[in-house]
Amino acid sequence: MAGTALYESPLLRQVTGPALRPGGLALTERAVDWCGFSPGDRVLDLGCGLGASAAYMAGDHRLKTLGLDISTEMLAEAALACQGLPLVRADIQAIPLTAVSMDGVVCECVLSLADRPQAVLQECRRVLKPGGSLILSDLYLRNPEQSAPNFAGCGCLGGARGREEMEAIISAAGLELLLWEDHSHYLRELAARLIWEHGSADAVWGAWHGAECCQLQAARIAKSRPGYFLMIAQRKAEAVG
Amino acid sequence: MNKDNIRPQDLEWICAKCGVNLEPAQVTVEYLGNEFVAELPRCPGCGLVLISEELASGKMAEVEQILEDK
Repeated sequence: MAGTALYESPLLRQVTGPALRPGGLALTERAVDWCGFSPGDRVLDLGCGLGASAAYMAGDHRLKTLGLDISTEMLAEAALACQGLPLVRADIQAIPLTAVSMDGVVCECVLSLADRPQAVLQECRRVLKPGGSLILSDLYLRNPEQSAPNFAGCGCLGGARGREEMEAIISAAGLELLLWEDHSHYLRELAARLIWEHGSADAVWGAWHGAECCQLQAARIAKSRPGYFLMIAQRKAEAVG
Repeated sequence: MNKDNIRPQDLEWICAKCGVNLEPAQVTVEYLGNEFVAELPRCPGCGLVLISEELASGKMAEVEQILEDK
């Protein structure tokens, strides 16, 4: 069954605050520091949600950030919470920016929600300047051969892939992988906090997707060993034109 | 903070050392470097905290299992 997207659920917001993902701003800070952006660099927050990362990068790193999201409701909240932050409503698979215009693109726990992740990555490459960085963090399956054919209705888990597949679609989009880090501890911490706040894994899963799919889906998901990664890729300089 | 950890009967316990009833109090529980804040029955005298069997074998056990990556 189709459930409410977890990122739109009060279940998640109660635990993560406005970041709405494992790792929160600590992982954003790690990635931005690694990339070595300079103040004034233009960075797109793809799937910005409530604007927490875009506001953080603009404030703490003095980057010129732009938030993009498809959700009118989330953008309205972001506009209230992060006054002055440029925001645009658009599909992450059709970014309304000119080519070769961004020094960085941040895509945090969003790609796994996309119907066509390859299209998203091709759009990232298109808007990045040569040498520009794509910061990608998301769920992945540490045991992908154990995954079900699909986790229909599982939101971000439905789009989670194995590491090899992730690296392959990055390469296919014309991006060069520079960094891969496992941060599954952030996912464990988030899952633990959700359980702590809501009483049990079944309660969390049931509130998210409905009780009838709890046991079966939870067992399938556990076998696939979901984890969380940080990946940084670069638009290759030779790919200009 | 989770406030659903205290059942009425938990507050009927009397601390054997201090001889006073336990009271709801904000407590921080730590496991594998992660801190969780909850309201739990605590002795106002010595600070002893009561963790019910239901809590220990229920969501606490689930949280431990998740954090241990099992």
